[in-house]
Amino acid sequence: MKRFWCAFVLAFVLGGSLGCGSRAVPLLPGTEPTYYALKAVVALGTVQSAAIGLNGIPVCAEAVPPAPPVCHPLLSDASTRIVVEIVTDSALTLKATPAGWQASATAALDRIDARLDAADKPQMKVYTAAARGVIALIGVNP
Amino acid sequence: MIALILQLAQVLAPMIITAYEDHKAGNNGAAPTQDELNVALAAAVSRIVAEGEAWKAAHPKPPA
Repeated sequence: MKRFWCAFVLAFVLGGSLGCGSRAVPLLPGTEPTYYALKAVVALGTVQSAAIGLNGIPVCAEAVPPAPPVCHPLLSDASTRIVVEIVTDSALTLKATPAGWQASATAALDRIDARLDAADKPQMKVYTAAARGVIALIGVNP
Repeated sequence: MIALILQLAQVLAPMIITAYEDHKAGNNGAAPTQDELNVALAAAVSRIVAEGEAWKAAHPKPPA
C-alpha cells in the first residue's frame, strides 16, 4: 500500500512538472510561414522604430557663448533613411512572399549592417543583433 | 496518513491544474486561420510603412 502511494505521488509530481513547460502556440497546418513572417516583420519593425527613436535624440557639443550649441542626431538622417528604406522594402517582400521569411529578414539586417555610416554602426549594432536573435529563434520557439 | 495525503494534494493541485490548462489550451485552443494571419501580417506591414513614410516626410532628403 505504501509503495502504491509513493508511486502515485511520484506520478503526479512528474506529470505536473512535465506539464509546466512552455505552452506551444497552436498553428493550423500550412499557416506556419505566414505566422513566422509576421514575427519576422515585428522584429524588423522594432529595428526601424529604434533607428527613428535614435534619430530623435539630439547630441550637442558644448556651447561657446554667444554661439548656440551645435547639435546633431544620435543616429544620422542618412543612416536612419537607410534603415527605413531597407525595413520597409523587406516588410513588403515578407507580406508578398511569407515563405522566404528567414532569408528575407536576415538579408535585410545584413544590408543594414553593411550600408550604415561607420560612425552610426555602433548605435544600431545592438538592435540588429537583437533582431537576428529573435529571427533565429522564430522557427525553433514559436 | 490522511493528513499527509491532504498536504500533498494541496501542493500538487496547482501543478495539476496548470498542466491541465496548458494541455487544454494546446490541444483545444483556437489557432489563427490563414485569413487571420494574412490580415495581421498586412496590418503589421502597414504600420511599418506608415512609420517610415512619416519619418521620411518629416526629414526630406537633401538635394544631391
